[in-house]
Amino acid sequence: MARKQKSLSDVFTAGFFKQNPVFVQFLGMCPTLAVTGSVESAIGMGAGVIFVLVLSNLIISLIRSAVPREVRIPIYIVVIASFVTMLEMLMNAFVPDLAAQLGTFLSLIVVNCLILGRAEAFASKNGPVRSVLDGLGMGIGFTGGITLLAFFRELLGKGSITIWGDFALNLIPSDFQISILVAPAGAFLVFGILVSQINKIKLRRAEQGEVA
Amino acid sequence: MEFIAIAFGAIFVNNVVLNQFYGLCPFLGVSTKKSSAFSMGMAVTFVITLSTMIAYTIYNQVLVPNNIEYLSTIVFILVIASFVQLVEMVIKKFSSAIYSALGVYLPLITTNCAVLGVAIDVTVNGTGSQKLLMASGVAPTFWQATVYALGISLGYAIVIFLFSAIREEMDAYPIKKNWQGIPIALITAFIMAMIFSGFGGVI
Repeated sequence: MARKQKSLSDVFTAGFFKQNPVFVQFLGMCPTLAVTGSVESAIGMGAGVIFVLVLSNLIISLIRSAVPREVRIPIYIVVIASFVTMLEMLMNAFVPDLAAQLGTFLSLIVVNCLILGRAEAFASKNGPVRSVLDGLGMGIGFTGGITLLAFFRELLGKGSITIWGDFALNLIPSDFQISILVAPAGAFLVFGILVSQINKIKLRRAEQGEVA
Repeated sequence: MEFIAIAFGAIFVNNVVLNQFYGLCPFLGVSTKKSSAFSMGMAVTFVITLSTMIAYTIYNQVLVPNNIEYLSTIVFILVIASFVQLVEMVIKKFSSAIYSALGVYLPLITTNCAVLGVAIDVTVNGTGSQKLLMASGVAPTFWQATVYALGISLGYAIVIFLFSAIREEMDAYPIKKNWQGIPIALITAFIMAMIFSGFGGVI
């Protein structure tokens, strides 16, 4: 190996900012936009993605030497689909309301490019410990990203943040709410603005880096 | 009349990209040129319609009689993946012209969540189709499901083509550096989604 291996903490924190799956890599955009109407469903979706991503990364890194290269993608998809089915059954059993809120997007974690992307780019080349850390870091980065998006949409669109039904935070009176933001169309607007602002910070950092 | 309502609702009101957020990765990734957006739209239409027909049949003929509906996610993704492979091989063998136009996009379609999403929506009572197909709580018939899938995929093709035409025009204008690429595309999609939400009043 020509390059030195990244340290374990680098593997873990890469997903937080530098390679954030939501704002930098644009992986898994369908759930990013679809479930961010409320903070509650965004956190639920994030937890589901962490569950599937960590377990599928673990299994794929364990079987990576036994898998023939030509058929690796179908095998990865079957591994991921099994964990998604498990997640569906668990969520329907323990948190049926949340499962109903997420609806089809719970099953669609199977085709979330983030999970297959990490399986192909990381877990198929690294050991189990590093792969689990990578899955955990990327999953947390994903959850943080979509929760941020959901926070702005719910706060400005509904004027309040409600989590698990009993904790509610009323901040904006009803006359000043922008209801388009919680409608499907608003997801594009809020996400576009957030990405542009994050790009701005990145560009400024890059300029400063060149000067210094 | 019923079929027309389903088709219209699927194409415009419940538009797959702008209203349900299925298939966004290719929507933003393959929409920089009109020609590639057109090819992608055609490939998606073909695959969604046929794979939904297959998934509907397997769900109702195999999974439901054996009480193994919980396997639907795994079964559907395998059916879709192998169907896409089959389509690719058939096209490669019979028409090199179509293959050179669509070939690159076919493998991408397996992970286009619109394909799996529509298959789930017409069978397992998903969220996307509730208003159109499951309003009375009755499972849709085979032809209702097929018309819905055709409408959804045509809606995808229309929107991705319109979107790529706008993006091609946009190249000529100076856009601030931090807005270039994905952010301005998302704002464009926002305006399109607002326009399409106007169709909601028609039904």
